[in-house]
Amino acid sequence: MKHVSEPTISAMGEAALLCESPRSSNDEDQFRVWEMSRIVEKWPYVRETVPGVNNLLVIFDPQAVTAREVHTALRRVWSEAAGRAPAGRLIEVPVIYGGDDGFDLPEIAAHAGMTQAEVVALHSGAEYVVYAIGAVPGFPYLAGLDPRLAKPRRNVPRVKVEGGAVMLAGVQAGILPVTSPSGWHVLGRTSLSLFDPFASPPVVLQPGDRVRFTVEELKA
Amino acid sequence: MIEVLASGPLVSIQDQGRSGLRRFGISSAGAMDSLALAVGNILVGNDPGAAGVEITASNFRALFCENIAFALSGADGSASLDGLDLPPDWVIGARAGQELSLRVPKKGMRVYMTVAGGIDVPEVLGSRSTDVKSGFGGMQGRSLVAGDRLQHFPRPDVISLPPLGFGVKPFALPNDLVEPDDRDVTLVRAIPAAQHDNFSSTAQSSFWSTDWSLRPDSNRMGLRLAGPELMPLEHTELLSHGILPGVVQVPPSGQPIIQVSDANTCGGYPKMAVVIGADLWRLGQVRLGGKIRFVKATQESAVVALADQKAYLARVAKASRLARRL
Amino acid sequence: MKTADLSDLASYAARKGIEFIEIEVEGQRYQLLVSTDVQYGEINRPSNQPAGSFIRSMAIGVLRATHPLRRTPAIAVGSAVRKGQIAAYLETGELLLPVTATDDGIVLKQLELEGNLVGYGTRLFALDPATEFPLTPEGIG
Repeated sequence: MKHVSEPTISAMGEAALLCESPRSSNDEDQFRVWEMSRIVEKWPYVRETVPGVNNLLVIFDPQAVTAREVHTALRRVWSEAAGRAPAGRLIEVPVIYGGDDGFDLPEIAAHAGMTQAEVVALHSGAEYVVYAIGAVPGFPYLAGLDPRLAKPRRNVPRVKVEGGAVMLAGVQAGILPVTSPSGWHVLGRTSLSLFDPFASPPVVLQPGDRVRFTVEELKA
Repeated sequence: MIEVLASGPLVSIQDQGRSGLRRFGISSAGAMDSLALAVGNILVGNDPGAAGVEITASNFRALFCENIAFALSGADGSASLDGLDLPPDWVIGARAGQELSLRVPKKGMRVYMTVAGGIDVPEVLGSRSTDVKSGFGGMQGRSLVAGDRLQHFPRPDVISLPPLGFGVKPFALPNDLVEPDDRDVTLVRAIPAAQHDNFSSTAQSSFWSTDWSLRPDSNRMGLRLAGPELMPLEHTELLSHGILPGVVQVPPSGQPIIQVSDANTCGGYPKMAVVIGADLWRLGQVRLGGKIRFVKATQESAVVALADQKAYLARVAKASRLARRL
Repeated sequence: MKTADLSDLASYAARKGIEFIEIEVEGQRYQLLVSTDVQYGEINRPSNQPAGSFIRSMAIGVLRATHPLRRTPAIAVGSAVRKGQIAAYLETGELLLPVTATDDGIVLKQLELEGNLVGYGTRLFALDPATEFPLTPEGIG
């Protein structure tokens, strides 16, 4: 049997466990998380599962089962689950980069030791995979960011970033569907709507979808 | 129908929130003091999860346009129904034409108004709660303003109430969780979380012993605490992962933030501890400038606390049914 | 009926705050008017004023003059109370029932201690009924 690394499983209060890949962000563990989510959400004492970036949050009824039992079960499922890359759709996201719409672009470029145009070329030249949806409604955590563009989250989050912001933080890329506080860095803006509470489904992107950014305009 | 005559910026329709949608980034929203909403609903004969009005540190006035039973729960808003003083955790039948007025509570932060049948606004994504952050649900995704008309679902049975109504005793906290009134410190139980031991022992002991102040930029997304800076032993970037109301994050600023009802569903900051489910309602009653101190708990004690609360609500339901037969 | 029995009956009535008993025993009808000794304090009452009135308990319960979530009692000795106001609470289990003020007046004395178990009809507060109460401009008849 193929050796599978042990996950890190920690308690998050009395009614949830977080199961994390021990490795840095990778496709194989993300597919495993998606498969685990499908299995675990059917367990009778599980209220909800929340797939994250190479991790799975499992929310359960603590009056029906102990954390220890859930912990043991999750450890087993991690080693058994081996997902496949789903056949996701390709979504194109048009972006106005820089200027007032991408006010962090100069800093991202400086941090990477590149020009703003080079940053834009690297960002829009990649194909990203939607690893997870979370934080705010419809927000995609995108894998595939060129590591040269990586920059740690801001020390102090901004109280308000407008919906439509195209952003990055750490090694992750994302798109902000609704106006909200954020500690991420903003490269540009898109007019594509990713969330509508009255639509069915309410959220446009799903884990497994692929995303490509296109350069609508570069204001540098 | 109930007409809002005067309202404040933090008055919104809330039920017990949305569930099962965190994987889409949709927060639970819902009443910050979920226990008060449940009590208020039980008093008027509703399901504990019916929609009511969350009135946060506001003066509030409403006109009853029909005979309807309503209840006030949570903090004491020095309520008056046409001049009749009403205590908190109380239900009474209003007559058409009577006016209710509430003031900013001197103690606590949120008053809940529930009406027989529950507030009738469209469900959005399975709940009538207002998601203030994303602007949907409740009353068109916004706070209530003067002129708003609140409809309620019809009541199949007639509630018979004593003329001055009746009330219930508040939930009795264990003695070791209650500080003297004048100290304005709320003790909440919390379970150490995944990055707790990544902090120095000085930082850890600061976390558990400080009377943290609630900063004025606190809101339904997060309670921002002011106090000693908590520094991790080393800076790590965590991959984004699901988080829950109750999670106490420590961002690089070193000042903890307690995630609450409208918090983001995922985050990446270090997690020091998680407030137990049974104590989340207490966070909804801490005033700006008030203090919070964390008390270490375990999964076992947290589960006992949940059972205690469930038992209290069952006693409230029984008392309520009894009172309506008197 | 023997004197001793009447005396027992009177004591019982006094303890329960019952003012008037009418019974028939062996063809004889007895009426008992029980007068309990109530101190009215320093307030000077003109002799043509009606006798004091009382706020009574209308159920069995533990008397709570102060609501559990408040710091001051619902009505204060020496202050005015209005007919129809909540004067106190009776606690049974988790339930709190309101005790209604049945008259306008000034609160003269709290007759039962906070935390006492009281019964139906127990006198809880003595009131001096208002004669020139601003809220009843036509005066008390």
